[in-house]
Amino acid sequence: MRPDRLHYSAGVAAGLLLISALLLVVSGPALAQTAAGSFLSVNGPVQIQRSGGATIGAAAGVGVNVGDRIVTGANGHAVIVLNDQSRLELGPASSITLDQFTVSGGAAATRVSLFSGVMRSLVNAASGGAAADYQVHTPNAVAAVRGTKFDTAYSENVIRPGYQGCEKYTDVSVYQGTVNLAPVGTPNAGEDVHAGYEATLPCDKPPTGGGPLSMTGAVSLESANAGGASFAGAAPGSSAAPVPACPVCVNTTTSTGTTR
Amino acid sequence: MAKNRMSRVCIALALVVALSAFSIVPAAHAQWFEDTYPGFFSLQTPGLLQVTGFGGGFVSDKYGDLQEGVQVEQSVTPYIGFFGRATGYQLWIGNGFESPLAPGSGSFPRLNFGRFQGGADFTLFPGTHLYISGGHDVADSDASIIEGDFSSWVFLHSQHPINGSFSTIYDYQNGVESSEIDLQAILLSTEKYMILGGVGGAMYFGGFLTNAQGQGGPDLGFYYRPWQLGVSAQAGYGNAHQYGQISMYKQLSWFE
Repeated sequence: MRPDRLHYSAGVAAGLLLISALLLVVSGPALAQTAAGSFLSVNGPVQIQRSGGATIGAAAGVGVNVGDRIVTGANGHAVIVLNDQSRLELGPASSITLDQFTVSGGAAATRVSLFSGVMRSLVNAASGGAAADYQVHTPNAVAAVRGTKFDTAYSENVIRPGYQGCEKYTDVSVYQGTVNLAPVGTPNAGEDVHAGYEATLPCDKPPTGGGPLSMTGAVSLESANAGGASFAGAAPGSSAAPVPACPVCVNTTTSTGTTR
Repeated sequence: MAKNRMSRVCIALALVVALSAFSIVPAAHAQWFEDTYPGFFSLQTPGLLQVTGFGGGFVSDKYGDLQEGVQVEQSVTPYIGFFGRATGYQLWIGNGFESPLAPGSGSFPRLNFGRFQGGADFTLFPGTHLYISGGHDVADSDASIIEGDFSSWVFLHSQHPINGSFSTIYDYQNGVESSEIDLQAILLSTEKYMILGGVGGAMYFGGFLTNAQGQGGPDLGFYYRPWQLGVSAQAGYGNAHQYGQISMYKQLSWFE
């Protein structure tokens, strides 16, 4: 090969390399900023940390991109509608990152990381007629949805009775469909939680069995907002059953004439 | 006298032995206590205020009554709360009422009285509560009462948790003790509601009653989550012959 041709080929290759590098640099942020949805409503302090580094306040209508981190304040609450019409509802003091949102063949694949607080997911399972591919990752668990509506909550640095010193918990409350809750290290060793039930994954241990909603102490959007709508049954003494005791009281006061 | 002194000595000895046993392995006990009751001595933050409104009715061959009231409970620590309860009762007793509970033969006009109670709620374990309260009646009753209520849910992390509850009220005026026992399970849980089923009953003894009285039967409950509203009904047979009762409650709660 002639030396000038060699130089020419090397020049072309270098040019191509430069163009490719430029394309990568230009397309990198563009890929990271893939539009995924927008805020439907925002109450209280809610911030978006863009993948590029900028932090802006959230408001209804503001777009949400893949890679965004969304943080709600102590009284914050936000609803995000993704482009496949799935909804994410964030409770107070919550932090999430939208890691993935892709639509292929009409079906969406979504990955959300929950770092703190509680988030309700209303997954549009009918999107494209395909089964929902939707996962919520917390530091110690993966909640993979086979249904449509559920809460995921992650709590850290708290101790709950009965868990022997564990200080981090992922709670899943399922309202519709089924959610598979698994330790983050063994995603195939999960427990299916069905509609009407809730379960807790403490530390890196296997999840508990599903118990009826609002009974096991699991955190949900309702309990985070409304002060713990936990079900304990009727308040003792408030049922009608103790009522027959009252004729006994009246017996003394009327038949013996010892009223006050 | 000697017998009393002996009893006191025995109790004191038992206390000493129990305290000694507890102090032999303090580290193990401390760890068990910390695991079982984390944050026992800390205030609950945020605090929780719960209000339960309730009402119900009882009808039998012998008598019938209505009750309605409200209970307010304030958390103090994660394991202890204080509550106050006000209940109004209306009572009807018809002809032919031959039970020892009767105020006399014949029929009576409606009797009304109110009961005001206050006490503490101890959370012994998750889902297990002990309520201790005392109070006094006003209007057509003048009784002082003391009440203990124990309620425990077991198998909470299963599809069908089971609840056992026992309540007893002692009436200082007539010396009668009234107890209620109930065993029920969650039959079905969905996003919106739960259905509960079980058996329960009540028993009365002591005081002027020469024999224990009571009744019992199956019960069915329904709880609607969006409204935090529960309804339960029970029917059965006992000293008042056939009976039926229904009760409703509505719960509200707020973080402070």
